[in-house]
Amino acid sequence: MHQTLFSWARWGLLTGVVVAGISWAQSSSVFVGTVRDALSKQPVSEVIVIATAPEKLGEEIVLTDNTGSYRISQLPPGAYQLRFEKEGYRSFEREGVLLDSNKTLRVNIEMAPSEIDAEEEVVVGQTPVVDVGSAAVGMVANEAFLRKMPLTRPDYRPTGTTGFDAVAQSAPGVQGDTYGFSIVGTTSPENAVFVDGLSVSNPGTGVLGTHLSAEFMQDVSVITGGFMPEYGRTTGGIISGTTKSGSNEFRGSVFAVFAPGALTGAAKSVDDVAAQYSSLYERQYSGEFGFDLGGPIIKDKLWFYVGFAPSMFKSKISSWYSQRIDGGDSENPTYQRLESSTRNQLRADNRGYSYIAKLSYQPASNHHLSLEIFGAPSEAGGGGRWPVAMGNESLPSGNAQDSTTLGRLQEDSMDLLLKYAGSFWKKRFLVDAHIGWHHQRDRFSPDDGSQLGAASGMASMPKVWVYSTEDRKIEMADLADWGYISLSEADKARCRAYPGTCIVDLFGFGGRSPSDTKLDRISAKAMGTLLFQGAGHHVVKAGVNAEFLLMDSIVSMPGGRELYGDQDYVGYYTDYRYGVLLGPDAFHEDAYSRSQPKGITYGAFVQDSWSIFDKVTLNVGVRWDQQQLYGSDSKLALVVGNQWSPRAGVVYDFMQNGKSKIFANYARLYETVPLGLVESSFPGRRQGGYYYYSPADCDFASEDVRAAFGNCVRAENRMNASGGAPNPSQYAFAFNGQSVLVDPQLKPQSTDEIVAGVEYEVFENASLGFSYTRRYMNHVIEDMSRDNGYTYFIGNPGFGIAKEFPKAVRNYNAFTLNFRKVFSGLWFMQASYTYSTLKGNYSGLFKPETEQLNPNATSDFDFLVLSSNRSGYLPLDIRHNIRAQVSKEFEFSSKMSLGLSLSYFGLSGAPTSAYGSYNNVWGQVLIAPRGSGSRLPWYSTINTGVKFNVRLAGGSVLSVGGTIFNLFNFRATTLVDEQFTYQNVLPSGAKTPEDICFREDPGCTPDNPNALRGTDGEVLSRSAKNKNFGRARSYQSPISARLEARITF
Amino acid sequence: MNTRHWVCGLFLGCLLGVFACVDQPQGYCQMAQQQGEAHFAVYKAKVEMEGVCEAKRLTAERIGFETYQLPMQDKISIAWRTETLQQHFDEAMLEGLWSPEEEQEVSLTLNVLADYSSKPDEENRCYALNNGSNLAEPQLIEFSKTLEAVGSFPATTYQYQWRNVVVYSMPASSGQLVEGEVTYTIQEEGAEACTGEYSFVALWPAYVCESDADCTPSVRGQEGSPINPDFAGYLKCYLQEGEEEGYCTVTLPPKELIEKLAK
Repeated sequence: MHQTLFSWARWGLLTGVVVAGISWAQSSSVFVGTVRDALSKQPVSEVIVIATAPEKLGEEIVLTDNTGSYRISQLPPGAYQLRFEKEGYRSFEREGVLLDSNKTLRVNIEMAPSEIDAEEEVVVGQTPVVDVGSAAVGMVANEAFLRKMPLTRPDYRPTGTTGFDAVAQSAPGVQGDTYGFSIVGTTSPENAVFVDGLSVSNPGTGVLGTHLSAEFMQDVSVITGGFMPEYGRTTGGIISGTTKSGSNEFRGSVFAVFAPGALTGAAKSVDDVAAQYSSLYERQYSGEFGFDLGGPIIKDKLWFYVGFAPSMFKSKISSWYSQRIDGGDSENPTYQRLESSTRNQLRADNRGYSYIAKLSYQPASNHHLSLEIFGAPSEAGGGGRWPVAMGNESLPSGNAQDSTTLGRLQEDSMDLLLKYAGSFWKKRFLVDAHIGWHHQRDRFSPDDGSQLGAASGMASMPKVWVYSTEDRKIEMADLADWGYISLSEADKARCRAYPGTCIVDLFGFGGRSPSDTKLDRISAKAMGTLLFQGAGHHVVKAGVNAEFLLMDSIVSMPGGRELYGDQDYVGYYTDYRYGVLLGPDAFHEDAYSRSQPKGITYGAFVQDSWSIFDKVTLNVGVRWDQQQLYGSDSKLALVVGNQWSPRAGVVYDFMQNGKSKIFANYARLYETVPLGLVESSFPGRRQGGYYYYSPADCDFASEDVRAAFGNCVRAENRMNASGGAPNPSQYAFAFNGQSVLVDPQLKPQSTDEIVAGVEYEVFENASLGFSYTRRYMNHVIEDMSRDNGYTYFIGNPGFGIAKEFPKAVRNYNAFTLNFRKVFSGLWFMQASYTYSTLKGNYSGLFKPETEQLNPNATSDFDFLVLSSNRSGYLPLDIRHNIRAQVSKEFEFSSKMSLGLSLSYFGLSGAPTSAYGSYNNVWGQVLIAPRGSGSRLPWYSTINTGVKFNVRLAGGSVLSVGGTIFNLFNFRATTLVDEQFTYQNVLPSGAKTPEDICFREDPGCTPDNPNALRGTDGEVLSRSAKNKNFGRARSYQSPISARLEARITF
Repeated sequence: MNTRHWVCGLFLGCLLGVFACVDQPQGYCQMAQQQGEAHFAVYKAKVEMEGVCEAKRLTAERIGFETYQLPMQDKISIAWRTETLQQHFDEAMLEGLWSPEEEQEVSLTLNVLADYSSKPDEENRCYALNNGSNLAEPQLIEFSKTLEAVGSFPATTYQYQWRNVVVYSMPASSGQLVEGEVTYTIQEEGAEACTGEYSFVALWPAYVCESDADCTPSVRGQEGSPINPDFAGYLKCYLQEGEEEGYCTVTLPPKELIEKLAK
């Protein structure tokens, strides 16, 4: 056995299969080039090449080989000085060569023999901008970009922090979605987001977990395609931030940005005419301030970098009701606002801070170690305020006048990272390794601060949801009488005079439940890079890595239960609780539901970047990953195995001077399944309860609400709900009792990508590129039901035991024209135009139409009967995507300058659809083909900024200025109500929502393909149509200004 | 071999070990179940009730099954009840024979209770087991209940001896097919006891039909029955003599049907 292991080890080493990690975003930039004799044009060997930069600890020295080629790897991004020295030649130096993260720049030079007169020599040194080493597409925002361009638009994120991921909005083919950024037609939870190579995504959902401030970033790269095998476990894009480090000089900054509400345009209210409810969202202020500082502790040995940046955000949510005054004319409903008497105002806020502390150590010239800790905890709500989450701007659902929705949300994130980078064998073998820990904790507590298990307070008080039905409406006047809403006596009288004209769709009474979710990811990576020659130059990388995912999530119901009044509020209640059936009608109530899924992912890759005779670079490789997910019982729940990802790319520098490339790349990309799937299916949250007849003393309008609840749920009032079926449990119901089964032939979720393009340096420091990107899905993992929702299983739609289901399709095709001029000569410009189409029946890991964030367990493929109309233009299908950003510095003197920036973002409108409900869940049925509704209007915004810079004594620079967002105050509709009906319906044969007919229409019989049919096959009345269908649900943020000040030293 | 070789060998051994395929876990024995729904069972006589007992023959009825599994535990139990008992109970309920509390207590006595296999065997079969027994023993699960006279029902004692109750559980069909045997004895007050011996096949969910076409499952975008689409072609509408409505049932023995699915 020992001999066998040793033999394997030797075999592994000999074949080079073993080694290396993934996604190493740090110190990964490279200079390559050739040094030739300026006269003979022959390669010059043994030239000393020295790279130094303020961002670089110490200097990097390499020698050219016998082909005159050199390669300097493991470089952090920065502005480099390259120096070339050789006896018998005049030294050559090139300053200010900008090297971005993950880029390979070719710097070819010709050195003049020292005996030549200075007048005769022609020393050629390029400052290239084209990455000739890879076919990756995307963008890099270096420090200059981060400081000069306005990053965080007010309508990107509601919080005050300038989150580093906001850079993605500047990249071609990227657009915002509900939870982050959609990259090349995918959804944000599919992205891999790194800080210094450590994944900072939420292990439960895949969305961003650590919202670290961009102030601490050296640069941020956004890779939208063309990945090599070292990048894996994402079917989206990669957003990778590199934090600053200390150097031998003390450098730092003090900064403040503030956007006051007084400098914000008037908000526009959203009026839901069906709910007779309006809301107005007004930002009051947002801001961030702080400092960062880096420098030496022991010169040339030990450095530090620290930063701290608190942020704050506050807004106001106003709401009011309306009275219907059309006399019941469903064709032309009209409303009169009851704003003055029903207006209610809520404050909403978020307070947080970003921090970082980093130590960098260089024990020897070829070995670097760093240890860092960073995080971005925040707290929102509490004290009568609505909590605004970091991840997305969720507003109160239903209506904001329900004070029980208020509470305190604490979102903590913390990351710890230990890294090593070293080189051996005269820098021909490089090693990068790290071990890291990402930790998140999201806690919610009711507004009064009551905790889980409390005997008093909101956490102890059950919640009742009541909604209006056709037969029984909730009257505003009743709610006002009971003290839940305000209504003037005059309005009340008018409402009483016309019953049914002042109604509330949904209202909640009672308590609010606490929740607490801890998430951890422990990751370890190791990667080796071997440089050698053989028919050109080879850069072979190989790596291994492993991730352990942990989740511990506690959710609860207020007072242990939620009651739904689904007939009317004197009829009967459905009483939901967390718990499980122990036997027939023996429902065991749990005080809370705890889910503790776990996962392990491990993988390896090997790749070769082969510069064939330094003419063509061939990138080939393969990576392999496997993921095993475990349920709360620690038993294996799901294996997502054998993820073989072949990658192949070719890059041809047709000018052979680092100024041009033609490239093409093929990659298969696999998804890492978030733990949320295990949480929801192995088993899901066990729930159940009883139905109750509501006795007369079950009156939630009573002052003693809790006593009333006790009356509502007395055991003798339990309703036999079997409907005559011989169920062993006639009174209690339960679901999610068991883990779902998994197709034994389950394939991992993957997408294939083809990228091809050309890039050319049109003038110094500027390149023009054209690329084509195609992505399509292979297999998708989803939960499905083969019996209309009675039982579920996990499988691949269209394959294996789910072969009857439609195959999941998401086809993305895009053409991008991209121009980039790096910061030089005091100006910068970046502009792109992307034409793309996104078609299919699968959006990704969340459903944009309902914002359902259940990765791999959305309702997209739940029911076979709902398969019609699902294919079409997907919600993230943006045909035209234009972005242009330009910045120019005007120097008045050596001490004063003025910086101007201007940016334009333009997106053509997204398609809309018409949805209906199924099994009482809205957004399930596509009544007409997907995307057949009218497209939303164009979204355009122009932002402009000005900064006045003064050089102070000691080399410090003071910058003051501001940015105006949405200069022309465009107010396009960004979302419309797409719920055609809230009734349970079947897909129709109508071509567009306008073609749908109703019972009142001539010839609209059940056989008419345009008929809107309920699940019983009967044609529905026109009154079933949602009166708010097609109306705006949100608008573009108004014009606003942000003030900025910074001292850099 | 020195320590360095050991460490290196162990590392590479682990690495290569993880490259090995790991199969999907088998999953627990499942049962299709939902309040308000049931399986539909068709009985086939081995020893039929004859003569005065002919009217009391078992032919077909709905049977409701439920399973119970505690969190973090492998042990699963199963319960079921027949429509015959349910109808008697429902009539008593409608007549107001019991107080609400009594009604709930009586309901519990109508259930057959047993242990249930934790994991399916290699033929995807899960078994109802006598409490504490194992599969090597004959699985005879006995049940007896006497219900009072009410409405059209005389006071009646129902006795069942259930044997070899098997549930098929696999990802493509999680507890939708059940088969087994039963010896059924019914004795109405003042009448002779009647006994028959039957085998039965039950299909989930019990779906009302008037013709075989009604049983065609939903397929992509086409509305149909909620029956597992893999059973298409092996379904028919079971109509009692003289009835216009019945329930769907399978035309193949469950074992053969499951074998077809497994292929």
